[in-house]
Amino acid sequence: MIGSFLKAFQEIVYVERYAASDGLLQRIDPRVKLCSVAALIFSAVAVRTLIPLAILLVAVAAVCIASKIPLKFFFLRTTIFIPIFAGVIALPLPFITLGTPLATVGYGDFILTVTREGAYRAGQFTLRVWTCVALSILLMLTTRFSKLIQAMENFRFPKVFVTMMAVTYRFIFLFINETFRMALAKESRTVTRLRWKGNVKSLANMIATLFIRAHERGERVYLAMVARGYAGTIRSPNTMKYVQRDWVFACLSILLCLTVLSVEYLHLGGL
Amino acid sequence: MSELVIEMDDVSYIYPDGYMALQKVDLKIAKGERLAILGPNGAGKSTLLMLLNGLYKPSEGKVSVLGIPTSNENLSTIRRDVGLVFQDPDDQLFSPTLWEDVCYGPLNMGLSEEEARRRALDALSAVGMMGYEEKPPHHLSAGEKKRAAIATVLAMEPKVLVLDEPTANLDPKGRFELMSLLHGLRNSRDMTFIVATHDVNFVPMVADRVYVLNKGRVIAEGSLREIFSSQRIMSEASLEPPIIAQLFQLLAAGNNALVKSLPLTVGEALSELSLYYRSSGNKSLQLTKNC
Repeated sequence: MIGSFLKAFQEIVYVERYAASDGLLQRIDPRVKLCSVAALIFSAVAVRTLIPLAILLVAVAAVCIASKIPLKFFFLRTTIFIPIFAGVIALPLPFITLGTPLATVGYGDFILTVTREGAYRAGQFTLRVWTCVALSILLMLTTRFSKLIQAMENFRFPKVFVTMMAVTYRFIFLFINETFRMALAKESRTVTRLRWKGNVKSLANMIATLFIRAHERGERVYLAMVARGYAGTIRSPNTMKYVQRDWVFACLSILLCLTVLSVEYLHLGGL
Repeated sequence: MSELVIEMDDVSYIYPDGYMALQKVDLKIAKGERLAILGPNGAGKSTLLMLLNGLYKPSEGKVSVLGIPTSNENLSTIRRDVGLVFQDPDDQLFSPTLWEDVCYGPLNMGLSEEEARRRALDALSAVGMMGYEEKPPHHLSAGEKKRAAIATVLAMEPKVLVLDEPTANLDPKGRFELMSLLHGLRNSRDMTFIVATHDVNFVPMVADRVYVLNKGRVIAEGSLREIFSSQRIMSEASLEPPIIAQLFQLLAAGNNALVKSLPLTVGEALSELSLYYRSSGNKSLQLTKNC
């Protein structure tokens, strides 16, 4: 079970299948993509009505098709995250918002009323989160992680933060695999079913061992860096260049943001 | 002796927990040599290599690289001259892509992006990893990772290439590729090679001279044949001679005329055998010419 979970996780994080194809977004400079997605997420967060969000989602779907990502796959990938991010907050909204009752559930003294306003708020909130998640996933799917790191470096994100991101990405699976091997080794020597307390104890041992191994690995990686001249800062080769299509894409993104915001604030959408 | 590249004079190293990893080690390596540091696990081989690059400072004694002592003010020069390839490539390759990792050393040396690029391309082609530039290291096989790790050091164009247990975790194909790579580098670059290993079958392929290390002390030094034919040294260091040498030692015990000089590799064994059969007038071994 753990094995298949790990494999799925590895697939999600590591397989850069779509980042390698030559769709629309894949050809855009990662710095432009990062800024555009940030601006679009900002717009999505700033709006409260459904039509601007719908415009954004349609645009995301269009870009997704142009970037050669199957819509079904994209839809599934984005919906996986919705319950995690939005479910907890959106679920009680229909019941706790005051307004016109739509339906009631429960009996006796326990009656919950779903209000029209509540349902609208829950829907609007979920859609907003979904748009933001879809935008972030679109960026992740079409950009190699290394390029994102480079883009962050280029934008002068704090060095420590960028290095930590890069190193975490590089080593996280080494440790997950190590944990998995340790769990297997433990399993292979477990004959009787351990009681709850025994299980917790062996888990604690495993966490401690992993911590020590991580610490030792860290030491070795640091030595390997020092051996090649590390003295506190990492200089990476700059391989990125803006070309005309990057500017066009940036302009289109700004235009989309402005459209969404004006539909919202100039009340062009009606709802 | 020609120009000394590495000189260790009465060097001891004590870890912060009090463990004495090296005791009074004397070591001299001349320019262009191919040297193996042979010893069982825990003999102090890796610690010794860390001293060569200035990563560790000797607790006693002196380490000099190309005549310069490994003190703090010389570290940048020494790290440029001595390229250290770690045992586990996962320790060495820490960047998101191979290209960034190969450029890492040259850029740290303060070279221009153009020069770093030239060196990185040169190093990648030397190890046969062109076309892998954009690959993240975790997508490489063990053999590829090892070659990539060597490239990251070659890009710094070191004068001494130091490899720690290079055959660890390699399958036969990876091992063979590594061997050919080291041979190729030997022919194409003016470098001194130091390999620390306990893989006795690998040593004759990559070294001409051996230092034997055991429990932090150098217990013997000499040519491959001197070291591998000494029963005493081998048992003291808990090692065995290469498998071919073992076979010929057994054969020689029954037939003194068979072995003139102890073969250490399959190639040497073949020429030794064909010499023997030719001298005894037996033609049945001619087939081996095709091997």
